[in-house]
Amino acid sequence: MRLRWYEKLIMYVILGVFAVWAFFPFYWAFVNSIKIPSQIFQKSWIPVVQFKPTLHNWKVELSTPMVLEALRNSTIVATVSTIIAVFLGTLVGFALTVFRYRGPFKNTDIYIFFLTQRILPPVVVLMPLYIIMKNLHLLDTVWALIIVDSTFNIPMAVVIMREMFKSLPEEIFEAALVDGAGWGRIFTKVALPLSAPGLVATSMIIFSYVWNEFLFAVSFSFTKAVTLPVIVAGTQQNRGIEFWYVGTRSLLVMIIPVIFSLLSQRYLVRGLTFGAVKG
Amino acid sequence: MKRNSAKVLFVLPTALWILVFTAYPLGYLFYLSFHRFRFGRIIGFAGFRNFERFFTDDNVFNSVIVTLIIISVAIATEVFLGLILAWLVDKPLRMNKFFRVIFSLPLFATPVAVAFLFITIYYEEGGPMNSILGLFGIPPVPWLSNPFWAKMSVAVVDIWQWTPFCFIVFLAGFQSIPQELYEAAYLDTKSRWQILKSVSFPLILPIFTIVLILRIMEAIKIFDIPAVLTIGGPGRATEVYSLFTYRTGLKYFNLGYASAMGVVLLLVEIPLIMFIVKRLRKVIS
Repeated sequence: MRLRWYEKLIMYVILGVFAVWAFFPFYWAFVNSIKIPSQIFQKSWIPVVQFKPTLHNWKVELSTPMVLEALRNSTIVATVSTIIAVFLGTLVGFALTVFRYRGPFKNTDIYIFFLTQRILPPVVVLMPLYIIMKNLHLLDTVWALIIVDSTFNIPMAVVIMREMFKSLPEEIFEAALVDGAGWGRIFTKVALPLSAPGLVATSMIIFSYVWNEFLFAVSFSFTKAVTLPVIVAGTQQNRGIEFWYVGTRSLLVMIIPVIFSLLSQRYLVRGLTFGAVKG
Repeated sequence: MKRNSAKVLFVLPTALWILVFTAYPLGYLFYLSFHRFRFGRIIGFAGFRNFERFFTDDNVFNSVIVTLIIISVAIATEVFLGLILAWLVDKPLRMNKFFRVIFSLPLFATPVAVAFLFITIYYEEGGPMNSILGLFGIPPVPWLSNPFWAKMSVAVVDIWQWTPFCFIVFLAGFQSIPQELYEAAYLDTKSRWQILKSVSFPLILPIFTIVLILRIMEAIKIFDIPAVLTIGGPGRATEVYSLFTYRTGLKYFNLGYASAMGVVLLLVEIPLIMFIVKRLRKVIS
């Protein structure tokens, strides 16, 4: 089907408007982050030409102890949670692909059992988890966040890794069985290496989710285990709205998940739709 | 490892993890909801008092209405825009890869940071939103200080963040329609409207349902954006259900009452969960 020139023009206009809309907040954050306070309200948009850019805000931001500590906490929580969630989810994804479960819990039942975790609104379990963490003396430690964040991200790993293993030819597993390999070996030496791209993408997706998580982070951490989103949310109360810090701080938080989402796009659609739509 | 022991061993650790960290807290939730608290400690049995209070509390009613208004405005817009954009990008345009990337940027942008940024974008005097509207002669909108506009502001940020989700899922749907089908249809009828109506539309409908359900499922959890953008205000104009529950439990330490709110939300969600599960059973092979 050929498009006529005016049809193309209309499409480009619509798409262009939305591209600006989608990109604007990032640009706005960037422009403000390299302005000095007096330039903020000057409605200047092009650095160098309209105003002299400065790295001052970034230098201040990256030498603020509170921010650095939050950056460290976020990294620890996201990394460890990702490892746990991907590990636990991948085991299930593998089992659901290669084994046939009989009896009361068939493959679909097991799959759905793990998926319902993602449907559950986090606020439902917030109070009991708060009291449990308090009794275990885990409040304001990274461990409380690691436990909760890995739990909520297991389904994502189950979904994507199950899809990943299903795309491998069955004969590979059968051949390995005939060669006398046990299931543990088949999992680590055959299945995992062959699904490395899926494993990487799943890790990036889960890392981003944990990195962005706010409800549990703001509930379970107060001073020592505070993560970046909590710092961002607190900025407003602490110092009012200072546009230049809004710029640096939000970019600092967003940059990793945004890059990860672009890198893992192919798997994202499957993960987000529980495998109902193939990306 | 033998097949039968492997079958159990591969699933057991994860199942135990979920039982300990989700099933147990869910059971505990019910227990908590029947108790009275003071300073974060249980001080006695409350019977159904937390629930009685729930159904007579104006603030609960307010938070339910607020949540429904915000998420219905947001979801309707997101699904509509996502569908249109995906349909346009699916066309043979030279720049569709570029648009695909740009449109998916907001997907994983940290919601808290986005809300924070939008505080400055909505800034009433000289902020970019009102400046742009000003170019069209529209007077400044009190985005964050007026109860109605504050709700719309939250919805707009949600739209910014979640239209990409609808977009990428719809796009995957459009791209899964085999090209031959269009070509065959084109030979049959030259009318684009006909092709849209009898090829694209029926094939995209199942995906439409999935997107809608998933959006509802996710939107009910809304917390980050109103918590940062408007802090639930002005007054309680954007105090969504999750935010109200969080505040009741962890700001005013009324843990029993907040647990009752959790119980009610869980019970309300059960039909939704059942519906999703039913749909999933069909599509899981």
